[in-house]
This record gives sequence, structure tokens and C-alpha cells, in this order.
Amino acid sequence: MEITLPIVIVSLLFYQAYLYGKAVYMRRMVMMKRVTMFLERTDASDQLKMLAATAFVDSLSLKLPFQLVSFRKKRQDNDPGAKRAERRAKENLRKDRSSLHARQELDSLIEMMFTINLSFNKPLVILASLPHFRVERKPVPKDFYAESFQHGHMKIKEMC
Amino acid sequence: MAEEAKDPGWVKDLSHETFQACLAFYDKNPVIGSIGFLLLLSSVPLIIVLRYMTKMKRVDNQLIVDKYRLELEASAKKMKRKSSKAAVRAASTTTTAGG
Repeated sequence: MEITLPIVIVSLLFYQAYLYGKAVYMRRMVMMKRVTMFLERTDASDQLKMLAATAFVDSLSLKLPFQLVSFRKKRQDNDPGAKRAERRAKENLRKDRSSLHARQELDSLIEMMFTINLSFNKPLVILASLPHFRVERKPVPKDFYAESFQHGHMKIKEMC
Repeated sequence: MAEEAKDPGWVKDLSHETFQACLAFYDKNPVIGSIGFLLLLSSVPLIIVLRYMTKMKRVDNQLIVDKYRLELEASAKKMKRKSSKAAVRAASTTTTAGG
């Protein structure tokens, strides 16, 4: 146990680095050609091209699972900002005048982004999916503090 | 600096004490000590590989973003040409209508 445990931990770390390297290599060899082909298309609009470029950039980002989880939480809490963003995206897609083939290509590109990100990002996905793990801060309950501390009242007003 | 040069005895004592404490700690729980040793050994190749990978990633991202900007400029030029053509057409129609 005393010999195997450190070796297992360090080999897991090496395996993670290997997965990251493999993801970088696969992105360069497989995804980059398709994204450049997509950017050169004439039947795709600028918005779809923007989506493809951001998908390429995001496929190696470490923040992606946290952003996904926070957006899902906002949507569950009926946050007005998230609702507005979703509605605007749907409207833009409806107005968009690019061909069906380009849209299917973009769908497959986004799917590839998720597979590449999941292939090396599993620990962070598990960490983000924990129920009581939050990265962003909770907003301070202002009324409570204003009532409880008379001296702090002005300070909180200044801060807001 | 001058005081340390004059009397380095307490530095010696402090280093000796910390070293002894470290050795005692690693004697008590050798798992942590061996993990640290293996990490020390493996940090150099890991850092080299990860630096290579991050450089590759940055270059790829830059390439794609530049490509997207070029495409945007091209589409904006096309839109301008179209709008100017439309304007010319509209101007010609108005002039003919006026003449």
C-alpha cells in the first residue's frame, strides 16, 4: 500500500496530462481542417461562423463545465437574463439564412467540441456537477444586514 | 544583512530544526513523502510537455480567430459592394424617373 498508492496517484496525473495532449493533437489534426472548411463556406452566415470559431476555442477550455452548470442553474431558477439570452438565440437562428447542410455541419462541430472537452475534462465535470459546489458568490442579503447593524447601514448603501 | 553576517547562529538553528521536523514528518507518514518525491522527479517532463501543449493550443486559437476576422472583413466588403450597387441602381432609377 505504501508503495503502490504514490505510484498510482502520480500515474493518474501523467494519464491526465496524456489525455490533454491527445485532445490538443486531435483538435489540431481533425477539428481544425473542418473548422477552416466551415469558415470558407459561402452558404453560412457570419453568426454560424462565429459559433464555429468559438466552439473551436472552447473545446480546450477548462471553464466550460462550470459555465454549463451555472447556465443550467440559472435556467432552472427562471433567471430573466438566461431566458432573454435563450430567446434571442432562438430568434437569431430562425432569422438566419444559411443552408441546412451548413447547420448540420455546425451541429457536428459542436458535438465534436463536447467530445474533445469531455475526453480530458472529466475531473472538473465531476467537480462542477457536485450539488453544493459553487464558484460564483451568493448575493448578500442586504435588508438583513441593514437591520441588524445600524452602523453598517450607510456602508452597505454606499457599496450598492 | 550585516547583523546576519555577524551572528548566523539562529539561521543555522532554524534550518536545522525545520529539517529535523521535515524528516520526522516523512518518517511518520512515508506515503506523503514518496508522493512528493515522485512529483519532484516528474515535474520537469510534465512542465515541458504541458508548455508545448499550451503553446500549440494558443497558436491554433490565434489561427482560427484570425481566419474568422478575415472572413468577417470579406463579408463586410461584399455587403458594402452590394449596398453601393443598390444605391447606384436606385440613383439611376431616380434620375431616369426625374428626367
